Amino acid sequence: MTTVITGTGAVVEEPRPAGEDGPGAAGWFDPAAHLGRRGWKYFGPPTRYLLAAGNTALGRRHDEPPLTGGPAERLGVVTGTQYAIADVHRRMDDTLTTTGVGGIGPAEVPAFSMNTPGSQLAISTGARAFSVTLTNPVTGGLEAVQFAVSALRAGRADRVVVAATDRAPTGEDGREEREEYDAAAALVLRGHPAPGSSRPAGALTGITGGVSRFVPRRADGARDPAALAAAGRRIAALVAGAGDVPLVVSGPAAAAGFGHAVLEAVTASLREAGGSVRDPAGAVREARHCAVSGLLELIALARTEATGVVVSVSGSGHLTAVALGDPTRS
Amino acid sequence: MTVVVTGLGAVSCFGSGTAALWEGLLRAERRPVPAPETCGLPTRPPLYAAPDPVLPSPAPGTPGGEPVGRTGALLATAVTEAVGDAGLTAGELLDAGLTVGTSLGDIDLAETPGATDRYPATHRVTAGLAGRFGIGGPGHTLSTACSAGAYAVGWGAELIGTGQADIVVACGGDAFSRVAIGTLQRFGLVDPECCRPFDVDRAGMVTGEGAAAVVLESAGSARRRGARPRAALAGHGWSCDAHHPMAPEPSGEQLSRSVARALEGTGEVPGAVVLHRAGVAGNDAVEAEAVGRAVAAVGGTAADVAGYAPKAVMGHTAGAAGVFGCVIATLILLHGVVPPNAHVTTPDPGCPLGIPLGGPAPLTRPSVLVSGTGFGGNNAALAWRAVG
Repeated sequence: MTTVITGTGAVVEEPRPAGEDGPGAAGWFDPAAHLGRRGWKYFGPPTRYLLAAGNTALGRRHDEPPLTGGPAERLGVVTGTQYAIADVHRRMDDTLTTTGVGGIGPAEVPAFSMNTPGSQLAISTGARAFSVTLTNPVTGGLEAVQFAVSALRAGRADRVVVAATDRAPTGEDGREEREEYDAAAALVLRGHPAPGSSRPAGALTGITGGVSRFVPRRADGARDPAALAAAGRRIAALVAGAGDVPLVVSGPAAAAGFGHAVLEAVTASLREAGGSVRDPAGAVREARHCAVSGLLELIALARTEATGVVVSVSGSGHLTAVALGDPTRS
Repeated sequence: MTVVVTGLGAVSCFGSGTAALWEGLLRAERRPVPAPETCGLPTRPPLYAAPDPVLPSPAPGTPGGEPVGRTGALLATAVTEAVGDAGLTAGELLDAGLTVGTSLGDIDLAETPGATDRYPATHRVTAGLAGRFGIGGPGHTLSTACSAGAYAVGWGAELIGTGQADIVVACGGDAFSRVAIGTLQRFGLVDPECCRPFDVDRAGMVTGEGAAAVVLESAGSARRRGARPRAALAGHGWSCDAHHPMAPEPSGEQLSRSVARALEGTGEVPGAVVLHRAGVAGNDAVEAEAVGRAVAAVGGTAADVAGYAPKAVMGHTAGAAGVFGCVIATLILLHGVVPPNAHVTTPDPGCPLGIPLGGPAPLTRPSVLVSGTGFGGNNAALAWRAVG
């Protein structure tokens, strides 16, 4: 069974030139514009972002009642995030070590759990099939896509909201010299009945599969070439020797070298299988939105292409690839 | 496709090793100790503390690399045992998957007292393990709060069932967190004495530290490797309450649905259930009723199923709890007995399940259920069956 993307949504803090960051930069997101005047005050920024992106992807208003009954039990949520608790955790820890336990306010308690943004999205929409949060740095967003595709194929849901949200840590010294920015993104996936049947109105292309690998370092610190080649083959297999495949690889600036190595490994494997990458000399795109980055790249590609592969790599050695494919074709 | 367990690993308040875990569960005596003086809280809360972990060996290729926190070190201890128990070679690990359940990851790195050296990237534990052991397949970190371990095992089985891996090391770990315990204290959720899940006077949870691991693989892979299966996964179910960020849905309808899906795979009434039950009265009641209903739906009687709550003697290990549940379920199947529930003066009269007390009880049927719940109403259940 293949899947089809029936909706997307994103809220993104755009990187600013040096010197324009600071506390005022938090004003890029207006919660009331997305979530109405009430109901979000006690939600942390990652939760607010996620609700905004998730509602847009589902095409629902923020004040619509959650699903109930059978439709609720067939809707799932998967969320990628790496920093959902970082800011609030630091604030709560400061409170505990200065004021003591009495200084902890009830409203902020849920925000210390990594799953809270995803759980609030599940509560808001009535998603009762499952709500799972994946927390690997950088790759968590695309891992959520892989998870959702597997869950749909296993019959654990009929629709899944695949999402990612992050609030880049402010650090101890404020938000100067930032390399990471805030964002949330979401897409809605559902199973597509069969090749040949028409695509739902307004739907984008489909997701045909995903793969995650880890490329360990050897004792000399270099990435294991055998593991890298194996990852390239697995990713190339997602598109089965297709030609002119749009390939997008993104990773943090510090992982650019690893990203290039992955790009080359995929290109080589695809060539061996008789296929080709559209731009084999393409650059590795800088991932500046933490675990949301890969999902943003996927949504951008899905809006312009029916097929392609998006790969997200982390400095730790994780990589996740997701393949787009037209669900109406066999 | 049948998924089997071929390796087990654990480190807990009983020390390192599944043998120490099983012995401690059978003794049913362990009580918590005060959290370390350096915990930074005005009153030292009770804690089922794990021994200070010693990293088994330096990770290859990481001199001066990312720091390893207490949870990462505990996980490395448990995974070392499980990988050795399963007899996995470096070549097999290079294509194996790794699923890690953790609530707060290496949170100690973010709770250091200095204002300038706190490390916000707390959830790198999977990368640390994958690098250390050379595990090159899919490596995912699942943080569904206290059911994270149950989801890590379930997702590991799903990776095998969908052909994305033949072998998956599924593990879970969490260590002391000032913020987690301080928050629980703030709202009166910590029992100041010990964890007493089946006692009518229970007064809350007590946290514990630890990590547990299972090596999952397809039955075919185990056969090819000559590995000995210890238990088979008969089914697993997921659901979400979609009700409240911290409290379970009172009817337990969704939890019962996940248990029912897990039991569909067995087609039989389990002999025992390793409960999530942590000593929080409302949550305990919802879980027991939900399990009881699912048992009734497959033709059983709740009172004939032995309910077991290991948190009484090892505390609530958060993201590790579900994996500990699976390790304990496997040990119950291997030994044919259910350890006695500890710290029970007056048994909870509202619990519909059987409550083994005083000594090990015979396992009357060869399957064991594991139940996991967490903040956000994240439910998961797994049904294990004896093999051989």
